[in-house]
Amino acid sequence: MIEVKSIHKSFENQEVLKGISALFENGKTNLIIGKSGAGKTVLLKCIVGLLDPDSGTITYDERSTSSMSKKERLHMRQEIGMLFQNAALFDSMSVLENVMFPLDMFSPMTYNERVARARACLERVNLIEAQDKSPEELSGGMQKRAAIARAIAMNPKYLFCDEPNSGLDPQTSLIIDQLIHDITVESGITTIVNTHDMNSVMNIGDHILFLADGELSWEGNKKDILNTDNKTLNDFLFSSEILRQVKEQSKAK
Amino acid sequence: MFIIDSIKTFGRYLVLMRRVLSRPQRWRIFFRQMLHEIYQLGVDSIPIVLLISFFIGAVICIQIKLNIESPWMPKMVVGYATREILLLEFSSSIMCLILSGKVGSNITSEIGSMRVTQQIDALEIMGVNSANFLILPKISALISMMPILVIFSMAAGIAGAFAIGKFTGIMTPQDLIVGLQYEFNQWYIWCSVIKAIFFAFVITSVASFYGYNVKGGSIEVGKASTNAVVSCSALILFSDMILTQLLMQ
Repeated sequence: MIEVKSIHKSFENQEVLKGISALFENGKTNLIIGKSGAGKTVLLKCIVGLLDPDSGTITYDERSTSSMSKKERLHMRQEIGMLFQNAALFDSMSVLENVMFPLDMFSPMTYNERVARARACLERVNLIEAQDKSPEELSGGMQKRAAIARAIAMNPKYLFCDEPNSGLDPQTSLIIDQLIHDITVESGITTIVNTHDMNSVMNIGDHILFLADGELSWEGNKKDILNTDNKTLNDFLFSSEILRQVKEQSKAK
Repeated sequence: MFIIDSIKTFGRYLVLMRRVLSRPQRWRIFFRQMLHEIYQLGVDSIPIVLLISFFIGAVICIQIKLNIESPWMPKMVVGYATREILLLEFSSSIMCLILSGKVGSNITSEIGSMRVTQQIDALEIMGVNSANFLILPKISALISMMPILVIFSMAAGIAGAFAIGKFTGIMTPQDLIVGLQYEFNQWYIWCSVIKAIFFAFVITSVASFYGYNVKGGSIEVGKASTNAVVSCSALILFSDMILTQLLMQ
């Protein structure tokens, strides 16, 4: 479980996060949605520790990151898996080496055990046939799956995904979404996904936070989201004419 | 403003170096990376070092022969002056200036690309000291390869001078050999090696600094590569002046 309280973050004179508080529970796929520039990525970077918030607290299972020593922070990062927007696979390594990398760095396993674990992760994401390929030989969806395999290699307690569907077709997006959701439920981990893909919201949104102008504007789940009165959220959700018509038709029925 | 910016940049460089010059998290992976870098930065540079040194050695020999030829001047002076130029300046400073173009831009663009594609963020998220993991093997590799490159450069330069004497007939190989051996001071080779090791640190650390701090996209990576080469060249020339003064006194 991850809890953030009153997170503020500014860049020069621009306040990007204005006192965000939220609770992200275990075994649920928590989605952070919002327009581009709403502060989603900054919030995620603050939570994972790539950025330090100006004020506020972040707690991982009752361990506050602000009171942790540098060593404790480094150790805690081994409990984190992250899927980046562009997969961020190491292009000097093969797919298998990419997945093995966190194990090589931090695991006490033998070489054979590390290979077996990396292959198991690749099998979990249906990518075992691409283990010897280099990342640039893979399609966008395959790169994302390889990055998921790398993220879960160390059996993380927390999984973060920054725009996992960007640049993917709707079908591949569904596969990636389902994979993230299944891994979350199977392992009972805390997953936070940044997205503005409405398919993801409707498919895997166990807990949804809507950010607008650096503030938490709405919080709920995928059932509540279609019936919300929040104007900003409605404008965001039904920004296309087709979706607006679908909503009006469903209301009429 | 320029002075304040320079001090700030130097401060950020020192902070980065503090992270770089720490104990590797996994020695086995450090040595594997270092071997890879020895090949990429050192072994791959041998052909260009040999080629340039050979021709520069030949050109120095021709220029000295043509410009100081006089009935009052002993013939061996050409070989002597060629050797001194190669040993004292060319094989350390000028060769490192050339390498700062090849190796420096290579390092900046590699690390800069990793920065803009979030590979460095991925390392940090895993709990890896990315500065140490990426930069220390490069610094160690070029420092360990530099004495070899310097010796190769000296040998190729002298071979170039010898070849021009032998094949063009502007002077006899015997005169050249006498000049090359005249009042040889072994310390000059050590000076050259010491300077080149220092320059290797400058090239790798400064180029890595520029790459590591890239913000933006591919255009910024290109700009950072150019800035890295310019800064490395200026720093090499500046530190050459100080080192020469210190080592040759």
